[in-house]
Amino acid sequence: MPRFSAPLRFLQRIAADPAGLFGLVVAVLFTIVALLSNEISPYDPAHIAVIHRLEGPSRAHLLGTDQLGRDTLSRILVGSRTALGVSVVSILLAATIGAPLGLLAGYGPRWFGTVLLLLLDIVNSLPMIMFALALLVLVGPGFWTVVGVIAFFSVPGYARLIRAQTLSLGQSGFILAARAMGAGLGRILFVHLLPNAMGALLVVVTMDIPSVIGLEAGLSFLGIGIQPPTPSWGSILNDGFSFIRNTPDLVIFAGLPLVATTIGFTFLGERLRQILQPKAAP
Amino acid sequence: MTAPVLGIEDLSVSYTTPHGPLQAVSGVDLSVGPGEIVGIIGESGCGKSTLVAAIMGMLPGSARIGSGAIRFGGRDLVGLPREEMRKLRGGGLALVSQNPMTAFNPVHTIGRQLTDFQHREGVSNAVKRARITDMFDQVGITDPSRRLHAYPHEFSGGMLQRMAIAAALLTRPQLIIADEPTTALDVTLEAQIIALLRRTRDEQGCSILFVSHHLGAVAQLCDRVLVMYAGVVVEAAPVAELFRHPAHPYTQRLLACDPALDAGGDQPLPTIAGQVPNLVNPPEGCRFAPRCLCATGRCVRERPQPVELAPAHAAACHLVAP
Repeated sequence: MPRFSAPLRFLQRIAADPAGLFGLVVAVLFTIVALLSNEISPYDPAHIAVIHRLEGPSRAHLLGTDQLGRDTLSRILVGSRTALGVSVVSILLAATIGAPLGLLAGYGPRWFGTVLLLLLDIVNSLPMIMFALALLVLVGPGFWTVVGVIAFFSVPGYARLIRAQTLSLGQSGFILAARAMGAGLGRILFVHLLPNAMGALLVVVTMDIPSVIGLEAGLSFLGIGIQPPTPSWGSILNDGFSFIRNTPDLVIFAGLPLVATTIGFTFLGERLRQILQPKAAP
Repeated sequence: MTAPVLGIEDLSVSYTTPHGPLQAVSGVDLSVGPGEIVGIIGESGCGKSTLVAAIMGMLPGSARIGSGAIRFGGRDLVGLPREEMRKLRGGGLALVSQNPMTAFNPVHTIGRQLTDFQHREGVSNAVKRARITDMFDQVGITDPSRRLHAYPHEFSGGMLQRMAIAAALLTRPQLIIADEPTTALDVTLEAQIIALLRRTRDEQGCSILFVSHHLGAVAQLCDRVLVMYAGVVVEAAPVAELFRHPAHPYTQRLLACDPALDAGGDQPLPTIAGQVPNLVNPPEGCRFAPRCLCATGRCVRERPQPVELAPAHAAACHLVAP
């Protein structure tokens, strides 16, 4: 029984706070829409009908059309899939690489921690847009290029977070007890330290989703992200930007979901922080 | 006499500090026979914890073993490869730590952790759980199957310390090192844990090294006692002998300071004035000399060697006559 009710109780606690509830609703809605976007979008987002270009909202096109006559609603819906895909994959990738590095830096040999911090500082000092442009030239644009760039620049954050958690947990009694029981490095890192850092990790992951969505939109806006015809909120904004004087709808409609998800996930992360790290909350 | 389970000879451990090496343990000799409970008492900072860490091979990086040997299971643990040492922890050597409230990982159930502690046993999880249930029975934990699914925060300190002892026993140790296992518990629980440790020895036949600064606990539990002061063993004796005829001035005054043994009625409780000396530059002669009421010029100059006063009773003091 407790196995089943614990997650439910956790969701209840998140929803107990209005901001938390809002965040939860946005996150769930965003995920459902993204997963079902192909099924629920009224038109093929790549279907071009130049006769209907830059139309305002109508019964046929609820949010109007873009400069090629493509249905804006469909493009935004399918764009959410791109946003979710990029953020989930790149964050998972960054956390999977960053967490073990952070664990080892916080608990393993001291030289490793020192070397890693140096490397992370180097990564942090690289200009991301320049790096993305360079990679673009080398391997060409696309989903994996965007994911790669974002993951690469997110690894230091995760590694540092897990390292900090590990440093403070490393001296606790249960780690000593586990060592006294003959636990090896792997067991201490992944059985004892990592689960204790999961709360903090979850908070940061949640807070990171909107910033990654923003990054993807930013790269796509600059034309170095997701390439047409795949819709992305950033490229819709870019399209709309060219016609902002006569047709501001495009920018507004593509900007709204971006703002909503950002606020939603930030509220959710804030609420998770309140619940999981009561001491760290301001 | 049978070979001791643990034999420490002339062990010295120092820490690197900005002010020079700190001699935390100097020339300690200690042996624990099979099925014997040996107590180590001394005030804070006398080297008890360093000694325990040295035996477990868990000294921090700043510590160096200067000399000596730690013999356990026919091997010298000093200079044993890291991996070999790790196999001994939880495989012959077990530690029951000071604070049971922090000894378990808060995110895993007790059952999961106690199963995990048996990672050396090549048996199925069902067998491991059966062994845990058995152990719970032995350490007096009722309703074991329900406890297995509970998290550490759902238990009291006394229960957790019982579980920690059960965890130690699960590894079939030859030697349990109990590092102040009752310090964090209240008095009634202390008596229970001490009784449990004694019963553990009687039933499992393992040896116990009991580290404490509580004289009462040592008196109740141990067969033999070592008194440590400033990194050296100042007196070693069978427990009854030590409490009846303390020979070293430090032991005498330590016993006098125990409120439970205080017979002075309305007299203020005696204390030992001063502090444990700075072990970066320890006193040249007897380390207790600066605080000793009967110290002579010889005590300040010359380091006393242990003098055998009675069978198995030795004290390191110039003032005791054999």
